[in-house]
Amino acid sequence: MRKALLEGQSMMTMAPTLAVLGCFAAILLPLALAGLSLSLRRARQNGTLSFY
Amino acid sequence: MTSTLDKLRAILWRDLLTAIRHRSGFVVTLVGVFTELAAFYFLSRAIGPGFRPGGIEYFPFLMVGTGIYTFFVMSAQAFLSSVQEAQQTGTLEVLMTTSTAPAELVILSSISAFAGNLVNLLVYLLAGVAVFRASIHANFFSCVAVLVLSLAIALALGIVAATLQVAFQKGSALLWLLGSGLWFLSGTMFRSRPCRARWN
Repeated sequence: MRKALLEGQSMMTMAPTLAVLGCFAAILLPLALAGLSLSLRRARQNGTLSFY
Repeated sequence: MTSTLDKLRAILWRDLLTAIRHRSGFVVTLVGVFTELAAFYFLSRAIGPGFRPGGIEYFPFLMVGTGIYTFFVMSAQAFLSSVQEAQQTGTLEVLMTTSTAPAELVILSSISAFAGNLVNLLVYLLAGVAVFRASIHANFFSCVAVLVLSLAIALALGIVAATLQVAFQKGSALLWLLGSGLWFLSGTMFRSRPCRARWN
């Protein structure tokens, strides 16, 4: 963000950084959604939804 | 898809009305933003113009670092709070009996707070530029690209925090780890790269 906001670097210059961010997002988001669905399903089956 | 958008619109409208009803919250948030920026402004002046991490003036460096850090941590907190609140009030089980998919339910419940954090970040950066004269040379398309990808990552981290809360009741542990880890390793207040280079 500093490179884009403070140094005004173009998307071409920032391509490696954007690629890393994109990889993180592409991997993390589906994994997180799958994990949440799984944990909610298990909590419903075990009756632990309201445990905190 | 239409059904999800309708639900999203209804939830955003509900939370907007609630926020308007409790207007003092806006004032407190604004005061918080200006106080934090003022503290960083005077910190950077106390350190002096000689300290320029990566060739950038220290105040803009701090402003961007702390703004993004706060956005990430507060976004994860938003997801965690929505799940904890639903657990404590006993509404989570009731909501699970509706036709809305469980994961969709958790995301929709947190989306307003998430959007609020994004607005806070934009206000923080705008106030830093307009009031405290932080010098920026922004590239619009790069900023949008980084922001969109950062949003996706923040969303994922928030969902992980919600998952840990549902599975092990330990979502706050991830939040603590994220808070202290990001503060130290992400270069919020200083460049982290020279440290890594020295260790290598």
